[in-house]
Amino acid sequence: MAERVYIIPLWLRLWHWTNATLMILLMASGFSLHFSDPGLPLIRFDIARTIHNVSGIALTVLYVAYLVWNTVSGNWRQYVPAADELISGLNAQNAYVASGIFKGAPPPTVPTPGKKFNVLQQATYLLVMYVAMPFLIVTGIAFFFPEWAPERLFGMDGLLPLAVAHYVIGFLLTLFLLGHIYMGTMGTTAAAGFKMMITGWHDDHPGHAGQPPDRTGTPPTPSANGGKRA
Amino acid sequence: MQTSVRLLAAVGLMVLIGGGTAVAQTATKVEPAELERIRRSNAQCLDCHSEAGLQALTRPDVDKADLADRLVDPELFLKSNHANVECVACHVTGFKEFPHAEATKQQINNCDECHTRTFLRIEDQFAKSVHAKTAEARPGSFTCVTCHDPHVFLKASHFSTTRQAVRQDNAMCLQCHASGERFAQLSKDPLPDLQKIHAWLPNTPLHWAAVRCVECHTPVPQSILSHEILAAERAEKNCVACHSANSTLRVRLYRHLVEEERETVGFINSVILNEAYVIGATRNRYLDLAFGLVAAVVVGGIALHGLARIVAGIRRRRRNG
Repeated sequence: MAERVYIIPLWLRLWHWTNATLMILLMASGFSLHFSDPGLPLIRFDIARTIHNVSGIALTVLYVAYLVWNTVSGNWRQYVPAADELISGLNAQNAYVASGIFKGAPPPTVPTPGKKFNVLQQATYLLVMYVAMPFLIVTGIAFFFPEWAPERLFGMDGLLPLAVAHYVIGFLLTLFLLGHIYMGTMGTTAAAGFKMMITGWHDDHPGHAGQPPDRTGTPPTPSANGGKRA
Repeated sequence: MQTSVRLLAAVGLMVLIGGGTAVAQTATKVEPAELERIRRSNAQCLDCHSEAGLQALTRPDVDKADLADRLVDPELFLKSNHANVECVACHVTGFKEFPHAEATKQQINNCDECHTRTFLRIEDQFAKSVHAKTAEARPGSFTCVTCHDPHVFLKASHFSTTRQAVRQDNAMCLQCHASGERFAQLSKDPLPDLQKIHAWLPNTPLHWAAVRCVECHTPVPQSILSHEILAAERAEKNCVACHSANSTLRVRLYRHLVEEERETVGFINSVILNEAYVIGATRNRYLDLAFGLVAAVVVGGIALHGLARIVAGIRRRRRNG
């Protein structure tokens, strides 16, 4: 029997897809600016620059809004892995990716309103949203105000280390995006994760491969998701 | 002072004078004794033709107002390309005595007396320059010293940082292009608003501080900066001319530094890495290579994992009938 659970509130879905769109625009334009080649332009330099600047500002505004929403709604708690579950959770997730998924085993955890992310997701998203993103934004903003950047840094032109940091973080986030999209296919079905991010509802298939999914999540918190079930 | 220098040089260009001293190519190799003699000779001129000299001057037969227009900054002069050149090498006849001989007072050596080879190279370039029209419209109005003040000018390659070279060279353009009065002396056109006509250029103040006007307003040279100054409609507007791995800044602004670096380090990118940051041009090829490899491994890994899942799924379905 399939059970539908409302997991992702509208604001989170809107934020997620706007964020995703901006990140893709930033990656394409950033790639084009970094590897600018007169003979082989992905996006023409001046256009890429405008796209990158506008998307960068929009992303910054959206990130601040996200921080506020995430704090006020209590959704931030979803990002913090429980210390006692960290190792076992990561092991279970790794075992699933390395072997379970090929045998048709169900995912070790399925999203519940109280615990939307598995431990691997928690650890990754925490790093991405609270470590990488602030660095990306600060180094990006430095390019709007190059006169504020240090004249010299590590014996080089002050902007260069900031540019390298921006590039490194941008690259790591691009890798994250690739992994994130692929991991999205590793839910109860290949499309389940994507459907959930669009509708907000998670389609649960308890009979999948004959094993009930592990429900280790904490009880739903009304402030984070409204606690709706269907 | 600059106006009078320009007038002097303008007349000088019209009056052909022989007997110039070929010092341009040997200016940096002056023997100590000869240098001492030049410095002493120049000190005599600077006794009057400097701010300090003017202040200390007590001679009643000197027109101080006129002299105030003919001053040289000794400090800047000693840092300039002409630091080792005797004043009378250019200001040839009638300047050794005071009062200076009236009839020959304005006789001044042409720049090409010494810079002969340079002139052979730049004559054609200048003829195609937007400034050539100005020179034609008002003969004698536009000469070398209109841009290059011989008492101050220092070649870009002699500055210790590119920023200093940029500051000096852009100031040369701004003498006229930021002054309605000076612009009107040479051109009938109204002075264009530099901010407005460069509004298309992102981060305009940063560009102006980091690169010279001539980086865009001259054609790309093979080896040396051209004297063919391009008007706005022909100037470089293609961002990737500079913002790419094959940045033209390498053959212009960074040319001398790059040459030096190439000899010592052999890594062409490192000079720009140390001197400035240019989006698209300043990047580390090893980092790019490493990231390319990592990205390929990740994409390949995802593709393999995905393929294995599909194959495993097909097998499972077959097994289960």
